[in-house]
Amino acid sequence: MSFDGQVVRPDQDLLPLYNEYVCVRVTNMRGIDLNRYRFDFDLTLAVLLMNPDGTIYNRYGGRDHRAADVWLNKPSLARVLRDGLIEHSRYQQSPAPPATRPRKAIENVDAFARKDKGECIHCHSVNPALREEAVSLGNWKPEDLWIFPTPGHVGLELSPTDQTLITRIAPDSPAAICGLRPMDRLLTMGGSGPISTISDVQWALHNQSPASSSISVSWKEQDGKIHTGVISVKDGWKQDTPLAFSWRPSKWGLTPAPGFGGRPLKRQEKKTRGFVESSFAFRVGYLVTWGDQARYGRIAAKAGLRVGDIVTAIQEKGDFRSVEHFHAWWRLTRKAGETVPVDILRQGKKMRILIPVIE
Amino acid sequence: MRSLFLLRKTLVLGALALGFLSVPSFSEDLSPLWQTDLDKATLLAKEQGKALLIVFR
Repeated sequence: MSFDGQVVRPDQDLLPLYNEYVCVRVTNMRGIDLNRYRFDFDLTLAVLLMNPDGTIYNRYGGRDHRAADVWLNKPSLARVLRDGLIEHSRYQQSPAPPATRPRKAIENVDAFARKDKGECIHCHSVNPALREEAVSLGNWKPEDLWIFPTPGHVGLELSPTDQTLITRIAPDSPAAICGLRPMDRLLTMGGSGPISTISDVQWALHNQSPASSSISVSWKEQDGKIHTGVISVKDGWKQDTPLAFSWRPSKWGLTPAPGFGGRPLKRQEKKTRGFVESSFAFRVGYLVTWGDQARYGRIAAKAGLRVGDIVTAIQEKGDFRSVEHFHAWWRLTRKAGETVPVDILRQGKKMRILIPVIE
Repeated sequence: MRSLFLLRKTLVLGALALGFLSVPSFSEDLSPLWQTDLDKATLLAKEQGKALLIVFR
């Protein structure tokens, strides 16, 4: 059973925890107030534990380019469910409802409404529409791309099963300079509520400025001693690599786009063609000659690329980890006016296609 | 031999079909635990003094 399946059909030992909550499963973002239910909309699974007054106690979910379920497991879920109940009990002693913000639903965002066909709205449709809205209002900044930074951005590595526990600190990183050490446990960060999960950490980091800033943090040592400190980050600290960005479905809306894509070659086909198993190679399955991004596919076709070609390197780079990595790399690093050499195999013959990058 | 094979195949397919039919749909299986209307669930949580567990999928 997928982890999502495990979340919605909890084991008998998790059921008593679930029963302490009112459980809701949302599969359609239509009508959902984005100012109230705030999470990383690129995720395929996100959990909020919250008071009905809008106060969010904890978040659960999170992923990276390695896999969708890197941070999803039963021990960490059980822990956050327990922590959420403790926080709920504490909060009820002195409630402090968040300031009311105007309701904002994705179908009321012009950039989305223009394309709205009245169907079910997936979470991953939200970020591209919000970005398009910000661009049209002149509010978009390149650094806005770097949302929900992972703990690695400040030098922290956390345990997947016990996500408050620090397993490694990168040498000379902001966290190391702050004084955090492996086996310490995060308590709070950036003025947020209690940390229980990597999603809580990412939310705390998400709310910090992308410029040089100081992030307050508290933690507990193994012996129980509690510390507070400040993690100092430098300008641009949220920026990440194309690989780290590659899992995000919101990348599809970014431009310039390559205008083509396809499926990676299967292991057997790589073997037959004499490729190393780990090598990058995909068969062009489509040229985007329709919709908003048709210009990219048309220019790739004009340059000579065809459906069925096998792409083996781009800009002499053959170390892409996946087709998604290639897509993120192109969108994040290529600039209009450049020409990108794309190495292909066509009917066993090596060829190089030069594709102009356009706006 | 062939009829034995066909009998076995029929039994296996029949068992699979029965198994498939006996799997409850999402709404049947989960309705006691899961709400699907966020606004109603929020009111319910208020009434019951409970926290909300919201899964966005």
